Amino acid sequence: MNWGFFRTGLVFSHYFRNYYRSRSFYLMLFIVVLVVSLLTYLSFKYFAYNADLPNFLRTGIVISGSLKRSEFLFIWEFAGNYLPVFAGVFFGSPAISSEIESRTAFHTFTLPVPRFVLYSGKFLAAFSVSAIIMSFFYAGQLINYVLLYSRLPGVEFLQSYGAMLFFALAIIAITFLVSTVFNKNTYAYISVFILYFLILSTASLVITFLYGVTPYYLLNVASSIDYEVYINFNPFDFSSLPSLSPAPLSQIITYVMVMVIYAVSTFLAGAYVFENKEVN
Amino acid sequence: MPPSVEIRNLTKTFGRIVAVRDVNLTLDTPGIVTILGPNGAGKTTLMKIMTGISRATSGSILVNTLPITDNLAKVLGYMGTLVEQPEFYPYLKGQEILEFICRIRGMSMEAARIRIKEIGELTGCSAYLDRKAGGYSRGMKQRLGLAAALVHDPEIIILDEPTFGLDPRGMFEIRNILKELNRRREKIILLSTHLIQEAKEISDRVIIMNNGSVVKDMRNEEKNLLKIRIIGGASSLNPSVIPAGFRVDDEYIISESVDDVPAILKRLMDAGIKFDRVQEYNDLEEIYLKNVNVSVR
Repeated sequence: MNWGFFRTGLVFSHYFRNYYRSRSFYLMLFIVVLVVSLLTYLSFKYFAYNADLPNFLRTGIVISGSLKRSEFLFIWEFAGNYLPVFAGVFFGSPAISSEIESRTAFHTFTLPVPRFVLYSGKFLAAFSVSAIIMSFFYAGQLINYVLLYSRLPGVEFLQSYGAMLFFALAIIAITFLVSTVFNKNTYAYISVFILYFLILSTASLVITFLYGVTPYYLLNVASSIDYEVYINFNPFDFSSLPSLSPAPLSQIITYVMVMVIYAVSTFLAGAYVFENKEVN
Repeated sequence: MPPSVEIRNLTKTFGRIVAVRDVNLTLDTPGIVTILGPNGAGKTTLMKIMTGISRATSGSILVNTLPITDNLAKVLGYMGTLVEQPEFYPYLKGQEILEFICRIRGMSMEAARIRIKEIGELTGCSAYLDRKAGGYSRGMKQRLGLAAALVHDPEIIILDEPTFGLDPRGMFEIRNILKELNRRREKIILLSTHLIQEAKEISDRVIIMNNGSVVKDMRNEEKNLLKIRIIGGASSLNPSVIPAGFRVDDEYIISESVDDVPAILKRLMDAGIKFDRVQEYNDLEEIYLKNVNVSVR
């Protein structure tokens, strides 16, 4: 086996073990259980018993059975869309800054492995625990769906799951980059929140209102593909009319590519900063 | 080939502050080399640069003839390091941390476990290796840090204040470990301390740093002297009666040699000099004070 891959694997398993035993992991799991519980309550109140429901799209049309199922999946995914952001903040934001703040860097940085191996191994570990957390959410969604409709969801479910993984990949790469810049966890946490919830949201609002176009190249817009695979409607996008159809494949590919570009570019930028990181 | 470290014109600045100033050192003889200096002398910064944690503003370091800037991962393979007070990932057990270090350095799991058992016993941390590091005390972390630095049997060991945070018994034990490691004179053990007694006790070579510079580099020069208290004070003696090989220091005269004490004392008696106390002492404190403008702790 290639020695570089083997060492990346060792670094990965080392950090993965530390991640899944951490309080952050269990706190994140608790949040997911809470969200799943709330959505389960909604599912059985809204979708199971109440046939004449207010139409959530307010289009006034009658909702067919298949659209109702898409609506179910859409609402679940819409509610769970921020979970990768929180996972990124929990596992990615302190990834490098905590090495400095808690002084583990003095031990880690002197290991005879290239910094890139350390960075990659830790990144993969953070992504893996995030994917596990997200999978709990998707499992909850799947169980509810099967219980309600006595059938498995279509291929859109897998598309949504895949898109969510790409979103988690991108957001964790961003949080790692931010974490390499700071030496204190608090700054890294706050910066990611500000970046995602304030700057990106404001930017998409401004672009939408001023230019009337959907800024698909912004991560928060691209990430909406994980619920738009069911119904091509983004409540924060004021530039286009809502559609009740699933997003077309070309849109899915475009949005996923945007997330891949974010993931790769910020991962490489973070690795570069980490390569030159000093602890003084 | 014996291990070697060569530091050439090394300087590290933080803005306008010069932390390390044009340091030149060659460590090419196995043994314990102690960097002694007050807080802020540049000891830790120098060690951070040597271990790749920090980077030099100018100058270079060669480890086993390899420049560290171009071969950092390889160079770190020769080293075992303990820089600043060690901290570890809180949710991992001591055993898991040491296993990871061994494995990442190319040891098999079986060899790693055997070695961890040995080093755990040597450093006194084997009793708590099955507990998570987050619950360790300062002293326990220090011992685990030392075990982490030694577990792969490195040829160059860099230890930044290895007895920091330990109780007197712990300090004694760590010094004994270092002496044991140095017994076969195969490794370069570079350690920093601000404790003169520690430097005096275990070092083959003492380097004094102050304000970022090396101000004194002594290879067994600071050895023992004989201090003889003169009745009425040595400064009152007529210089012409003081035999060769002695110097006056306030109420004492000092012999530069301790090889044959009776002969030394006979020479004084022959010169008609009366004394009431004879004591052996090490002049490292004196040298330190002369070169470092701070009080001795």
